[in-house]
Amino acid sequence: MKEKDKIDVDGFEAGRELPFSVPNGYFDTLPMRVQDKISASTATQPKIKEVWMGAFRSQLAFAAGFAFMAVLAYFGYYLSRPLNQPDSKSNGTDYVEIVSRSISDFDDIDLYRAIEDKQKQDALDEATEEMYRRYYVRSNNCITIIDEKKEVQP
Amino acid sequence: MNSYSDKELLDMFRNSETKNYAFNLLMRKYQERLYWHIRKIVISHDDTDDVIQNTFMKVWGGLEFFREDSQLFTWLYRIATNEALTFLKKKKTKLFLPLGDVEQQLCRSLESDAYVDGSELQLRLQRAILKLPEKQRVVFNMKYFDEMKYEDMSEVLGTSVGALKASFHHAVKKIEKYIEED
Repeated sequence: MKEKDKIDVDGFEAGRELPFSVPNGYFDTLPMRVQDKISASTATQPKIKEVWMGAFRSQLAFAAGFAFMAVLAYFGYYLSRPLNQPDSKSNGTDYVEIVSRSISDFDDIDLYRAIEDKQKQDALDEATEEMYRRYYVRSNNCITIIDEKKEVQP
Repeated sequence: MNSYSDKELLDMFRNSETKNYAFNLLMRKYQERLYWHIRKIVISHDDTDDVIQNTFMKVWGGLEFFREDSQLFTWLYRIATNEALTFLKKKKTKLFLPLGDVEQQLCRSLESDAYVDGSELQLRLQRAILKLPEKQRVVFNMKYFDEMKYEDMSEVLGTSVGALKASFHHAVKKIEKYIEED
């Protein structure tokens, strides 16, 4: 070291000794403690391949989940679509499709009830039609209700 | 133990069968120099122990990729210096300390640490050194105590030789002033 780089203070001779010390045997045990620390960190640290596989697996699971949700959403929309909505594929009504889509919504009881209702409705319609027919006949032939009763009860 | 050259140690480290043994030898070869270098920066023995362990952990992780463009010991010094300065920075952040308070805390370590046992003159010098800015302190320590060449210091600190010479010169002047005032 050059003279100009020395600490030049009158009466000050600190030298180059440090005022520090270490515990006894410190440098004998330090390498072993570091090796132990390295072994512990290596044991807990996953290998690079595993990290990549883990990352890839999670992305794959996410993609599969997303695809499943997309398919579910599509079919949900497709099945809940109103039947009278015009179909873009064909202008005519596709009865086979309607039946195939609707068939699952019916069970036997629903079917019987529908037939029963239909029969009741048919009977009602028939009775109404008969009533109108008789009314027209009466009007045209100028037959009163009393006469009609007479006719009915000979 | 110290008969192995750096080149031989590196070759042994790259062989998976002798890797642990080579690293053990490397630690034994450089631990004292690195310890005292770190100790001069962080002062307390316990803090130095933490920092040197972290330094060797980093060396273990990076030695495989060491390209031998620089000397091994300058590369080790660089890691140790970075670890020590990062440690002080973390301490500052952790304790919400302004710059001056860190210096005061290091001075307190100088007085209270169980492993500080020097003469009054040596302690006065250390107190004066602690008043320097961190990087200037590192430059002063490397030159004054370790008597390192400016070229090697330049490799460690990534600073030009001229700037290092100027920094050391200013550090000496400041220390003389601090000692006179003390």
